[in-house]
Amino acid sequence: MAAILDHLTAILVGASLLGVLLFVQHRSGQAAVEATVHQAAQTQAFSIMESIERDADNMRLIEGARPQVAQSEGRTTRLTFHTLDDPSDGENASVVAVTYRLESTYRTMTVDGQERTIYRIARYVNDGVDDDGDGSLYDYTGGSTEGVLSFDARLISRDGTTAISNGDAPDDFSRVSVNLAVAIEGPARVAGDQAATATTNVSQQGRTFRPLTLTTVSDAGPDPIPDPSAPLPPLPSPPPTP
Amino acid sequence: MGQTLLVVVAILVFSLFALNQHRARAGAEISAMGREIELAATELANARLLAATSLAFDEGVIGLTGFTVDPAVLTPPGSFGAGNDPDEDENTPADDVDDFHGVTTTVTVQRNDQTGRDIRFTVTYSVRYVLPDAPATPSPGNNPTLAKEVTVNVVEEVDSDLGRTPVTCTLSQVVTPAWNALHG
Repeated sequence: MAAILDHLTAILVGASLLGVLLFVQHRSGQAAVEATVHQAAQTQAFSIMESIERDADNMRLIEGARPQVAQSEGRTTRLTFHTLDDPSDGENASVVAVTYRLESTYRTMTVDGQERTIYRIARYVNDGVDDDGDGSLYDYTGGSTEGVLSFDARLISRDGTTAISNGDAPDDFSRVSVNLAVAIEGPARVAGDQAATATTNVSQQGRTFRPLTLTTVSDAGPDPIPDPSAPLPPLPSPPPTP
Repeated sequence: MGQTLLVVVAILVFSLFALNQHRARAGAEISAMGREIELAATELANARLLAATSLAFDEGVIGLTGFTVDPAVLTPPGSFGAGNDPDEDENTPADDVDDFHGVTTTVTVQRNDQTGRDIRFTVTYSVRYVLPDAPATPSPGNNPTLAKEVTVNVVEEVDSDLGRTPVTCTLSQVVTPAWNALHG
């Protein structure tokens, strides 16, 4: 007892330092997780953006069927245009209609302390054949992960004075601008100073694409051009409530 | 006395350790923020470059059928810039690539993460004639040639010392009358 009393100050200080040390170490580990999460968010955003870039670069303009974009509540819900199915086929590459659709995941995610609804972007291709037998000519061909916070696509005229975010491409259509924000679930908040870092679980990316050729293709060729307005498969249903 | 000294030393050592930890963590955050700003700067430069190079190669070729092969009809470098072409003033919208020469604008890129942390950039343009068969080489005396290099420089505006250098992005593209007719 006397020994404890003799070293009471040292014991108290030592215990305090040990506690704070454990906390600092814990936050250190968490910071590493946050950095990894940010990297993952960027990778996810890159991934879907590359898919859009490949299609946009090989865009084809078809007589009577301009690229279209639809918007609801400030978000692009659908981006549709014709592109080459496989550009590596060169001049024999077939033209397909591709649609990127923003779909609800019926989930939310915490970003910077706020609950945000998250979506995913699904890519559908209409090659004129119902490959998966679901009754729709558009077949699902992949998409983003569930973590899209925003999706904004615009069809821009050559002189830049017109940027369509809801409707058909302008007459002198020249470029496609796409902006999206992707988030990944980050570590739970355990410290006050995390408020400043919580946005590291979101990556916002924008790209502008100028299609390599915008020569208008006639629909009078031997192969019919797939209809971009064909119905898409139904939207995912909300999960059953328990 | 010895024990007190030991406690003081322990607190000192621990403080240094904690500060180093915070510095390392702040460095990681600044790095992550910097990467996001770099992406925004690159996209802004790319979008502005595409917008500029989508316009006509030169005022002298507007309205021509096909494209010119005669440098004599092209705008002299001294007339580059907004409003310097005939029948244009500084309020006339740009209609050819050299109208952007010397233009400086401030652009705010909005973040969609609802944090209100928008990013401001200064965008500057420059245009010069280059040799068509050696596009990296400026035209001697900046005499008109059938190739122009358009450069967009984007620099982040920072209000205070963030512990990192402002993000900068510079993109260039060479355009010719033929390229512009095909891809503009």
